[in-house]
Amino acid sequence: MKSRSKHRSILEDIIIYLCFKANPNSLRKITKLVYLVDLYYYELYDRQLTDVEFRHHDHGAWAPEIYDVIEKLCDEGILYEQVVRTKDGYSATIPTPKVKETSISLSDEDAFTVLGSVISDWGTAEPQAVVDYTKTTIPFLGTHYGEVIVFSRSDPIVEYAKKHNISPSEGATLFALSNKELTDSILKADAELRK
Amino acid sequence: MVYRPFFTDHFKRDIEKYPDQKAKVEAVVSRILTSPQHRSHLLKYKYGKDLRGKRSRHLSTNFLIIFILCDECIENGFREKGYNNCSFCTGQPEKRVIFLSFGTYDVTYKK
Repeated sequence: MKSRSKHRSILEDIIIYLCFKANPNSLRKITKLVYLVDLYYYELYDRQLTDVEFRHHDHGAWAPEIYDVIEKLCDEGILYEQVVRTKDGYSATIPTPKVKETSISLSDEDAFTVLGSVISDWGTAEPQAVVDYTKTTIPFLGTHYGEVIVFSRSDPIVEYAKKHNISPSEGATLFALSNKELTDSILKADAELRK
Repeated sequence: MVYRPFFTDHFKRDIEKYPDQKAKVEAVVSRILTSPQHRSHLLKYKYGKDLRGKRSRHLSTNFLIIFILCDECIENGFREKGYNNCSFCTGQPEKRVIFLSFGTYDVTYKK
């Protein structure tokens, strides 16, 4: 894989990638998708992929830095802001790439896996659905309004256990038992191993 | 990777149900093989279902991956207690992760 352009940050490459892949696309959706990229990455590698500081706001995780980067990419001719009319009659700004997709080069193979997962889960979702989901994520819920979102609190089992004053093991068991299909699958797999 | 994987047929079938999650599952499997106890939790006996000796790890958006750690099972006496009893078990604590199941959960965390 190519090493990233000296002039482009990892956040810039992530934003361009998301602009290519997300459909529908909007400034708001791109912000939330970057948040989800960091959340998914944190779950796997215990650190954010970007160094963006997200804050808890009314409309979900918010980071002005992402808007600044999109503006910079527009100034550099890498993106342009396409203004379209939504089905509700509002106008929306869609950051659209002017470069080829092959120009995106992240040196971290794991980053592409995570970006692919976020696009697979949320790429075709309506912006409001992505906003709504981000507002249910544990780091967002665990942060007060206006404060910087801390990703270290991202395990819902641990947070559920704390809230209900039970052990993480007890919480994990309740999660596993919450879906009969999963419980049956565990018990059948256990039986398969004993044969 | 420190641990070797063993995938049950059930696990393979569970993965096939969610083809769009495959890359994410491969990534988390790789992490589990490196550091299996990190962000995973031992399960318990509850509501008549005995899940003791197994571990679960969360995966966004609402997935759980369930596995057994061979060395933990032997060293903590899970096999002796009957929690697990793999037919191929040698009784030696091997660096092996046995992947049992993958699926969704239905618990909503609210602030």
